[in-house]
Amino acid sequence: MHNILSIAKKDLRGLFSEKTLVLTIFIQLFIALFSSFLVVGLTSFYDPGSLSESEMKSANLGLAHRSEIVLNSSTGANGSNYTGYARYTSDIRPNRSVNETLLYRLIEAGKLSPVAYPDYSTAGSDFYRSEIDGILLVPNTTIEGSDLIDIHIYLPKTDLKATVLMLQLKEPLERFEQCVRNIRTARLPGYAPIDLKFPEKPSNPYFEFIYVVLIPLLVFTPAFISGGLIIDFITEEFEQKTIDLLLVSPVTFADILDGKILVATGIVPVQVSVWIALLLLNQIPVHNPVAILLLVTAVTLILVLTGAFISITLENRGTSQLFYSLILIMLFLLCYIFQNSPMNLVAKLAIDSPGCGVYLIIYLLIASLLYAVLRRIMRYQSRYRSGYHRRS
Amino acid sequence: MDTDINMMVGVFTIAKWELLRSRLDLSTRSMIAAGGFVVAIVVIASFASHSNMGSGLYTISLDDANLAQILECDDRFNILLLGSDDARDAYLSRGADILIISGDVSVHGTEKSIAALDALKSTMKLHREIRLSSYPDLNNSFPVWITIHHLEREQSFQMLASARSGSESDLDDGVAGSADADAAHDAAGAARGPQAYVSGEDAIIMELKRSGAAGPAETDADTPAPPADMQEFRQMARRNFLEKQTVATPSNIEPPIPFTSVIFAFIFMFPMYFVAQFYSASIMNERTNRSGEFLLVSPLTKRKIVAGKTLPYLITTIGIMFVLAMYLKYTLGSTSSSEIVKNSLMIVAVMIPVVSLFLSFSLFSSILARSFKELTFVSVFFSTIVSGYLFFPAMFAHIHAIALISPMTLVVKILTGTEICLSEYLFSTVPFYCVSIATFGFATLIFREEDLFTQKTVKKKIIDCIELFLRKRSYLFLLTLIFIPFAYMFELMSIVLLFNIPLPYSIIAMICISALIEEVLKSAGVYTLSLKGYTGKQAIILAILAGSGFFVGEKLMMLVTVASIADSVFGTVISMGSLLVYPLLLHIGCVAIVAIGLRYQRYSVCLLAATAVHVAYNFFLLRGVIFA
Repeated sequence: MHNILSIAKKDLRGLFSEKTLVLTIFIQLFIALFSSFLVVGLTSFYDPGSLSESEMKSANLGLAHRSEIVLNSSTGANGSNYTGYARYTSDIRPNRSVNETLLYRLIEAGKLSPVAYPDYSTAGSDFYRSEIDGILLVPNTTIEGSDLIDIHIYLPKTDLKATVLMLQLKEPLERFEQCVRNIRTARLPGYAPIDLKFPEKPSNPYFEFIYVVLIPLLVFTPAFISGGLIIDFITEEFEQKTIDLLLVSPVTFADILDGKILVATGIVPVQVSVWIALLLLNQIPVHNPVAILLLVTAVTLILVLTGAFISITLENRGTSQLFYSLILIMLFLLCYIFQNSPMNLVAKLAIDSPGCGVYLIIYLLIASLLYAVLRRIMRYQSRYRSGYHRRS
Repeated sequence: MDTDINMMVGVFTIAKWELLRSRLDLSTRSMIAAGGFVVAIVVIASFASHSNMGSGLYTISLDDANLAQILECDDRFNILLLGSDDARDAYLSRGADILIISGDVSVHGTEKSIAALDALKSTMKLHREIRLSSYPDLNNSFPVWITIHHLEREQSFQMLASARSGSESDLDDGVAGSADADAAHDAAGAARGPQAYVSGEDAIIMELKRSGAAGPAETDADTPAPPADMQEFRQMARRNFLEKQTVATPSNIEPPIPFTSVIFAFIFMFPMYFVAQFYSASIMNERTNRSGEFLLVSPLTKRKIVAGKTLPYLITTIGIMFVLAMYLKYTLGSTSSSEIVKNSLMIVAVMIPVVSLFLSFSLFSSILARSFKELTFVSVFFSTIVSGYLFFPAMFAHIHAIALISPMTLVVKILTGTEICLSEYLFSTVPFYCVSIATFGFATLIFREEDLFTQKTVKKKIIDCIELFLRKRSYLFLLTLIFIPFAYMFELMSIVLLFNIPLPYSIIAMICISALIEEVLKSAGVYTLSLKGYTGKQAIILAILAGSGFFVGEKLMMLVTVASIADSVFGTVISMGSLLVYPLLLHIGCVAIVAIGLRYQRYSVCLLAATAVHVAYNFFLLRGVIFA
């Protein structure tokens, strides 16, 4: 035990003196920054309320009649004025003015407040002068008819506002489609829509992204790095021939290995708990932190043992790292297919879904089994035995 | 002529050795094993079309067997099909997230439960779409179609940019000009000239009239139109996955966030990681077992050795890129072989600077690193940064001009059949070319015994390489000039990082970061020289050299790349507009602070002082944007 600890201490000191640990943490911080770029950036698309005032003020959407209209979407949620659209179902007719059409009212009921334009040229100039940011041509087709209703939308090229507008338009357009379908699908033989009454609740569209993708990725990054780290620990000793020196000292090869495995595995739970704490600070609650730590440690041990096995067999850093990355990719893909993969388990644990306990134990068993196998291999390979045995 | 041939022979000899050596590295057995893994990965990947990530997240208890059958198809749900009382019990006390009893959906107020509701809604919608698409009657099942057109218009960023120019003229002339959005907008319009103004506007109106006049029957061939019947609809549904959406039904419209471009970027970057790994391992090997010593005593110059060692890897990677590009273009439905080859060559042209950047960073880091561990981290660090730089802007390939920072955006554009122009190519690749050439140069400088075979610290080696470069003091001018693309890339990088912070704050952060980056790079040479010591008068000369070098470089860089981004407010922070005298004085002044300060204080203190001055100057210039 003492031998193992002294090897572990030596490698840990190496990590600190070369500032590699600092770099690791920096890399993870970088990933976090980029993920926040993703999450914040994408969420702001879906929830323009989170966009800054100046950005939203000028994001105006235009809805337009096929002959005569355009709309203006300054923000302002006038959802309360919404009176139900069923009454207007028959209103799209060529001779009506635009602001009497169903489409106009549906859009008005959403977060956009549309502006009707009498003709194309005013709409076009306002669009050019950035007073509106989109034009929608409302078609002259009746809802009860059987022609396709063809809506044209004009958006500014390469502008974030185009995306914001499209996202805001999606819901009214879907409601419109639903209205039309309510009338037209009655003509389809044997079609009856399934009617579920959904309660109205504001939702966080990135909830799933955060828990299913982001958290598992953040939590496992240290594990991936540790697998590569052990390869460096071991191949370094081989390539610099220091392994021989270590072996003539009263340390067995198994001790050396244990020390290295201890360092590579031990640093992971520390990093992961920091991650979880950081997520908590960002108001993303992570449930079952202890179980997650256990699971990550088990997976780290599996990866570290794999790395150790590869590097003992190959004794060469380049090829070992190549094989390790190939295996890592393979495992990663397997995670994608396999239902109770560690990634998915972390997601389920973090979100507090039931039925993870069994698999947690299975992964712990796999890790200890692998460890036992590696020990056994070590024992039967005479080349790794030390010259001095202190065992009683 | 003769020396040319000699040089080539030398380079090729090294390249040949390198090839032989790396083949010996991989024994036949491990080659076969690696091949086996690759095959396994491909096989698994082909199964992975259906994701099981996030399966079993939510629990739904319900009493309707029919509905249960529909929901089973979605892995995210655990279905509890119970009698209505049991179902209610499961919802209330056993943690089910959603309860559905006779068509009534109830949820808890928790975030998870609401997310489950979202998932339920989307599953039901998907089910509805699938069911409707089984009817052949398109006009009644998919009655509404949306066609999206994109029109050229000035960007909102430009308004801010002109607000800045307003405040700048304010600074120069002392004329009080209002910098509010309206005035700035008029200025932008006026700047384009009345001609451009009218034609741009007219073009939009004409385009509107054109499609407004066209009846549903008479849409012409090139504009996308809704499908004529169900068969065409199904074809479209298949095709739409990789293309930019222009025609769709309201339920199927996807916001233009192309995760596909990230996938492309990943496919191209993947081989690069591996080749870079082998490359740096090979250099590291020369160092650890000192076989590099034989190379160094050979009659070859350092430059030839480095070129020879790099060449095989460069060519291999580019070959892989070419094959990948052809394959992707082919799978994306391109049929004419000339087009495939042409586009693949274009992609390779975009990728060459990226590949050489990767290789140059791996060369440099394998010389810097003291051990394999350090090498792993230094190279992982570099590749994370570079891939972040490449990946994330590419996500916005079809959305925002900022995406052009990354060459991957160009690759995505070429693959999806969009034309790219030379200025776009220059904008995104010139920094890559400059930085990789400079990095190769610096690495070659320290490719010598003292640095390869000793345990010097990273900082010491970097100082070594600057010192070697500064053969004469006047070279300081050239050094800061060379550092410009580095500063430029770092600053673009920070734009990406700061993009999500709301506007005034992101600009403030950007100003501070870019000032710090510029000051570090400007004063690096001065710091190196200060280790040998200089007099006060020399300090001034050094400051003038370094400051003017940086200034000239900055202006050169602007000439090449400014077109695409200068109109963005972030661009103005980097380039600081067209002022000439003040920036020059600023750069010289800031270096002077460091140069003189170094005689009395530590480097970090001087650096912070210089940064503070720089930041203050930038704030003064940009006050119009920040406080408007």
